[in-house]
Amino acid sequence: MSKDLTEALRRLTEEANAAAKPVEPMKNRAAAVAAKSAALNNNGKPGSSGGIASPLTEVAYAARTWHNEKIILSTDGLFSLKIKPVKTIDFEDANAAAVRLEFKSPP
Amino acid sequence: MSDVISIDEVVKFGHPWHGLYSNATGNVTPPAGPAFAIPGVPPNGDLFNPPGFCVKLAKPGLPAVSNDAADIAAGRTWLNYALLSGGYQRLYGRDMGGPIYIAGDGSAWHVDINRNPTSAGGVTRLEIILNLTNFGEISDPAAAVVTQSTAMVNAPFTGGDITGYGVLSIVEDINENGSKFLISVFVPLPATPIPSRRVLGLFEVTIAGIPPAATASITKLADIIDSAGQTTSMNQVWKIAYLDNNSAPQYLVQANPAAPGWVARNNWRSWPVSQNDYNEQTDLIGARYMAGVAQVMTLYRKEHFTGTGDIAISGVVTSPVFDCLFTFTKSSTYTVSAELRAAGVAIFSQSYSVTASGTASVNLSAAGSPVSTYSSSTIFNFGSGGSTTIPNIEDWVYGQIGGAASFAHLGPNGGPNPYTIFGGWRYSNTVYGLINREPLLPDTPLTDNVIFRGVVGALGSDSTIYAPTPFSSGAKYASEHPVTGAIARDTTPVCWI
Repeated sequence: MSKDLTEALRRLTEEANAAAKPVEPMKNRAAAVAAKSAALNNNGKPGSSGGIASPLTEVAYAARTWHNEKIILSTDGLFSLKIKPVKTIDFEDANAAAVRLEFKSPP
Repeated sequence: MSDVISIDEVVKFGHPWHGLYSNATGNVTPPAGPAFAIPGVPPNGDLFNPPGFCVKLAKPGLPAVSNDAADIAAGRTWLNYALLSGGYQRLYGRDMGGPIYIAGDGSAWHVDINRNPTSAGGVTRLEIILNLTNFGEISDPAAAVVTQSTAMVNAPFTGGDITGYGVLSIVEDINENGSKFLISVFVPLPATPIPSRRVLGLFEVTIAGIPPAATASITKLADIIDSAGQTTSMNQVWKIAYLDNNSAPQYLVQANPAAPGWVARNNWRSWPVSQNDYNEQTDLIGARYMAGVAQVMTLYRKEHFTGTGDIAISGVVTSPVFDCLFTFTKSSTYTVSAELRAAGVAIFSQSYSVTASGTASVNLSAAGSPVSTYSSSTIFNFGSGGSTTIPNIEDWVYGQIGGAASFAHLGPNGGPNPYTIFGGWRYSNTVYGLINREPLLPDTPLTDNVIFRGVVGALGSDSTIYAPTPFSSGAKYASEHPVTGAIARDTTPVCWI
């Protein structure tokens, strides 16, 4: 039922990296040298491709935006749970770069 | 909270803990899966506000709900309706103490009933004020509390001066959206062997509109004067056999052996030759909903004597010495019956009868005392189907009228008639049944054992007849599921939750 927030962030990051990186021509095997990974959790140092640097920190709770309120009913209809689905949350990564998560309104 | 909700998907929420609650075990047996300890308070109640109360509370338009394997393994049952259970309307493990009203816009409102049966100025009334409070709204910040008190309404009823009589009032039943409910005013009578309540009035309360602009109204459905009258009908033809002044046999036939014109005759004997007497009585025992329509529940009882007989005189010798023989014959039945009635229609009945036939003779001689010979056979037919035949138990002599002997009315008079008591028992908001003290054979010691007979709910029924038992340990608890119609009965409280 639930999805992990970290997983969602990881996927978003991979997609961003993929979009930013042009396809490079294949190099000779002999020319290969040791290189650092551009994956997350790189102790705050930015990747060479300009990806998101962990950790992400929410800028301000008050900065969130919301979809219209929705009512979720208990199966018997007696209890109504009023929710305000999140629309956007603004973060800054370890390099103070702005990252925005945008959520769809739940069906 | 809300940001988590936006990622997690809410599949179901509510109260999935349903099934049959047993007070003996403290457990609930769900439709599928393992039994579990009842969460929250159990269904409460007492003899006259039974814990087997259970009504469906439904909000229109809700989709069907299913249970997956994990639900069943955990004993969870998700429903798209709610159940108010017990004498105080338990919901989600809490006693609500009244209905939940689903208004026309789908909003839910808890109904607190302020009721006041009162006598003033020779008029007895039931006054009602409802306090409505919004119910079931979960939000952050908490939803504002909206309350509304309806204007006081009242309904007069004939209950006599109720001051000081320990009058009680309970919710008898509630319809599916809480817009109508039935309440009673009664006096509890915890008598032995069959406790009962003297229902003074039955009322229907209706809520309309959407709070804070809702209105309440009250209607009297019945009061004690509407149904509790006893009717007695005497329809007898008597025949008197006597010797006139010439000692010749003579006969008179008249409706009443003691009627004017029946002068004392020389050595007469009277005897009924036909009889059709009865006593009948109807009592209010409660009110319930059937398919949303209110029904007044009553108990009807009848004692009925029927029969035919004859008397003849023969063997007369003229004065001064006479010797005559009176001969009596009869075939008669005494029937006790009871009916549970819903809106005037019998839904369950029970009866037993005593049938007697026989002959008797009385030989009168001026030379000595009368010589009497009796021969009779009496059959006791019990409601459970058994019967017993006992010879020669009739007491043929009835009494004296004007100094001469009058013989018995036709009904069997040596039986247990005075000892049988029929009662109607309200097991729950919808389940009613008959109970009675068992008929007794002559010379059998009187006991207070009670037979719990079949029960009839709004949807289901149970024809079980339990063995005679003291009321205190009898199967006096029952509950009907308002959707399936399943009826559970037990010696300890049971209730569908």
